[in-house]
Amino acid sequence: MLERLQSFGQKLREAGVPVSNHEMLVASQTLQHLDWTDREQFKWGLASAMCRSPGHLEVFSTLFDLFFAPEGLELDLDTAPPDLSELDEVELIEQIIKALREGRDGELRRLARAVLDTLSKEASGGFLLYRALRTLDMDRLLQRLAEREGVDEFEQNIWKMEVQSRLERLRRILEQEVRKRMVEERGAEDVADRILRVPLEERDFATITSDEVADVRRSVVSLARRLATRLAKLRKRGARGRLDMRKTLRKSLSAGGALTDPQFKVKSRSRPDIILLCDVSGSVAAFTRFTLLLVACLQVQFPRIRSFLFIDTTDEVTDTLKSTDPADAIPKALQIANVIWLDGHSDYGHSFKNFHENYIEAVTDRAHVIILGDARSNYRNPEAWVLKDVRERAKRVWWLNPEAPQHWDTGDSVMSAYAEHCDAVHECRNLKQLASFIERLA
Amino acid sequence: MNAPTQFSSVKEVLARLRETNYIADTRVATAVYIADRLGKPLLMEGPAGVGKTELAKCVAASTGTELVRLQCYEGLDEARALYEWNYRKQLLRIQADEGREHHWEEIEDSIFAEPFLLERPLLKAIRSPKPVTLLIDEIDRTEFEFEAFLLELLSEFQVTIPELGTIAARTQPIVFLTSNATRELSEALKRRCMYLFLDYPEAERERDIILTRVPELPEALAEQLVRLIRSIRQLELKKRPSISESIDWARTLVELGVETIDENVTQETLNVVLKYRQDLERVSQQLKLPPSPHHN
Repeated sequence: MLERLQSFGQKLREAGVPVSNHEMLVASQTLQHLDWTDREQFKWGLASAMCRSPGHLEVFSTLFDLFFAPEGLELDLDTAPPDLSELDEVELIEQIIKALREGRDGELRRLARAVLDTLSKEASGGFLLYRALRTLDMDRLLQRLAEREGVDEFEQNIWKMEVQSRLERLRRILEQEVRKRMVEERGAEDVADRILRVPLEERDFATITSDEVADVRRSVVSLARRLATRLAKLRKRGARGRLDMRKTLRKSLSAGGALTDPQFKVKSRSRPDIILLCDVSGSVAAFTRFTLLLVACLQVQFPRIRSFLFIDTTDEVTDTLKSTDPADAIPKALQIANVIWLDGHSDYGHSFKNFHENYIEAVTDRAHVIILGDARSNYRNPEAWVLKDVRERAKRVWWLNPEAPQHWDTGDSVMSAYAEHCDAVHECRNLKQLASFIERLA
Repeated sequence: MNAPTQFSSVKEVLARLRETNYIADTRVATAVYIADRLGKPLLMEGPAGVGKTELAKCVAASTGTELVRLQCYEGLDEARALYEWNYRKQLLRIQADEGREHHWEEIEDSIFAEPFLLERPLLKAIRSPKPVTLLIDEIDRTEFEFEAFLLELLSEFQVTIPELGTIAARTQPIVFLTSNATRELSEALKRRCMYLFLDYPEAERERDIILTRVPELPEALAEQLVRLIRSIRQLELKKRPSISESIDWARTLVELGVETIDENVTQETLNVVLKYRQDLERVSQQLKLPPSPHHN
């Protein structure tokens, strides 16, 4: 058994779960306490020793099934199920609909396997999953399942939501089963990066898929909360001024005149005014949205924010962002802002000129101007003089670019023309970099 | 230090937790059992309200040990978590001695002693003559430094106080740590713990939990409630309802004497389950509830 455990650990490591020698030792210790005949117990006992995050558990489950007893085996022993390999596609789909309707997960898993078996002759890997989803056609399943007769409207609505979650479940089962096949075919390493992704905070904004946007949004909000407490503390510490003799003496009276608790004067520091100028064109949309959200969540730290959006012309959205909850406000602001003047291709030059015409008085000597964008202006006139003027008026001008520095000034990027007039240009490709910039700013 | 284990099998964990009204599954029970057997802390992660803290409380209740709880927060330091010298009392002691001839060493020995020590949760757990259950709640809220400070405690069950020396646990406590995963914990800390990810439970278990906690609730109603709450959970919400919300909802329905959940009942009681107005609107829209006078 120990040998088997060793090679299981090795496989986990190949798949990106960092199982150290220490964890292997603990895992082997758990073995003597576990009942090996109980699959669940055996599995979760090992998992508690070898996994350290939900992602690890995903990988663990996949590999565990391949290495030890696969799920659902015990069931098959009592009630030998009908052979599914004889069924054709249409019959399989009917069976799946039945299983979905009755909410039977075990059955669903067996059927999913059967579907993949029939398809695996012509496809494999990610393509197999794609084919399976095409064959099953989730939308059609939803349609067929959603209709139910003889129930009132309320019941019907609940049912619809339930069907959706069951279909989601089917999708996950398919994903898991495909992954197992991939491990068998190509080895564990190949599958690793599909499951164990880089933590959200370090993900490149450009690679965040629409499925993950909600997760990222949530982590932006929690990041904002952490930053806020951190900043408040730093501010408090930074506010400690010279020794206040008067207060110290007064405080000492309760300790019989011994000077135990020195008191300090409070330094006042003004919070920075912020002007955000955001490119919201398609290429950088994800990045600017998250940045806007983060800054909006930090309202307390930055009470005076003015936000401007642009694509090829500029519009102010400060009030929209302030009026409602930040997460809801940003899509709304994007909807109502008037940012397209000519053709909806980024035009930094025209947008800046427009900003200069209409809003230049917003730039006071206390303002930190932060420009978010990739400086890709579709070969149009950059009008860098605007930035020069802004810099003369403002306290600081920062530029955050969601591209890696080696791409600056390639193609239609005019980063250095603008960089000349900025205090600094930062690469800002993930939440971590964004957070560290905000922290330095406050 | 003796290390008496509390449980003799996974089944026993399940049964004894059930006695305290905690419905565990094999996964949870196995993790608790293994952590107890190996004498290692159990790190629990998962969304808020799925019963992480409750599990620790119920283990304490089922083993008859005292629960010592340390609630973590940003800025928590050793003085609040472990011990602190009661300097006011020390000052009084020194002042009371004034005028008499004493060597400084004598005074030092007398004021850095037990009576001047303020015991905080961690020290209390270590020094307790009887075994305790130690719960370190929301460890992810503390800073990195505090985590490092916990390492000695978690691996050796001992702490070092410069003036008194190293204090080792007399009996091995059962240790639970919870985290809401708002940040990554350090590798070193994770390595010293067994790991358990607690997620929203399966429908059947959730129904059992609700029926155990709210026995007055009719079974059919519980069934309906679980269906509805699970459907709500899969929507994209600011705060997904967890088990504690399901239980609250069940209690509300019992209070109101509801027999079946229909549109009107849902609309009037949904605010027990959802804490944000946007979430309420979202769900009402999905279920096509009639507009409520309260919401505007």
